[in-house]
Amino acid sequence: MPEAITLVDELIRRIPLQPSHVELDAAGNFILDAQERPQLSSAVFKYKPTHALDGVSVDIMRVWLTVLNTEEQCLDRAAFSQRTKAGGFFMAGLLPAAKPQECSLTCVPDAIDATITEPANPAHALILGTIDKTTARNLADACRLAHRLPTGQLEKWPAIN
Amino acid sequence: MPDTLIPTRRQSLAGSRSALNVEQAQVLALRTWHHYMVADAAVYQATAHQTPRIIVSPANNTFARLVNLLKRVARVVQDFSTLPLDWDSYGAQTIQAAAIEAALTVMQEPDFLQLLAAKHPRLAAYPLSNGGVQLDINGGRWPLEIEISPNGRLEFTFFGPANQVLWETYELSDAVNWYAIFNDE
Repeated sequence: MPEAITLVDELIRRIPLQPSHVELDAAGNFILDAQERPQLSSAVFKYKPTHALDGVSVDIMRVWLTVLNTEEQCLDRAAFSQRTKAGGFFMAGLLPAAKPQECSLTCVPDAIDATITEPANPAHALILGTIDKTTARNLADACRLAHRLPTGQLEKWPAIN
Repeated sequence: MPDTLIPTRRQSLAGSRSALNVEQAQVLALRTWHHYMVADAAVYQATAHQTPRIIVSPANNTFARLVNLLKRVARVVQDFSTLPLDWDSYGAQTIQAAAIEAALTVMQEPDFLQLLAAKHPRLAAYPLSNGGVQLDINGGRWPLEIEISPNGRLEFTFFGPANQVLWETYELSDAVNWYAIFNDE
């Protein structure tokens, strides 16, 4: 029986680094907002579900922590366990579970069993509901880019909390 | 060049103490304007030989910056055509040619420049999981998103400080008008 998602949970979402979903300056560096954080585009959360059980895929950090030792390893797994189809990197975004619920969305556990091609993902969850433009921007604002690339892959990376 | 050929502004003004009729005032105004032109030309000629100068007016500089920004973002949009199916690992669609074309077309519209802040223009393009394209415009008073559907339909949305929708329109001309209104507030 999957555990319910609580308000203190953190959700992990893979975000492609190429193409970038953060505004870049002419030199290819992230443009930071007033809080010195990269500003994620709402495009990350623009999703139009095709049916009631179709939603934004995320992983529950707490569930991965029962398997992996540290939050960093959980983020490593999210960002580095696969490449984009074009061979690019992912970065990991951390979204407080309280935020979607604050936006009248529902977060439900949706563990995935292993298949021939894909390993099991016990931490998988879905954010269900209609994501309008305001909600997409609010989710993007609440999402922290909480990972870095291996040394040498990117010279400048914003501070990580 | 002899000094006597370059009337100073002080001299030009010094000669107009007595009351003048309209005709005299017009003649004086023309002469004064001409004196200014002569003086400025002389200063330019006197200093032009010192160092070769490239004179870039602030207006030209801003325009060049805007053009460079547009070129850079246009390249990003063009690259979206190479994204394969499932490019985000969550089942995203390939970016449709109609969306890419619409994005490039709107960016080439002369009116589009009016949506970009003069001082710190910010424009970025992102692919959408449904096969569309999104252009984010920041740097003005309120942010603007241009969502381009997979079939190339544009939707301009202005957002307020709490990300609330201030205005939505499908027309660039409307967006330009509202941009001016929102930035004049």
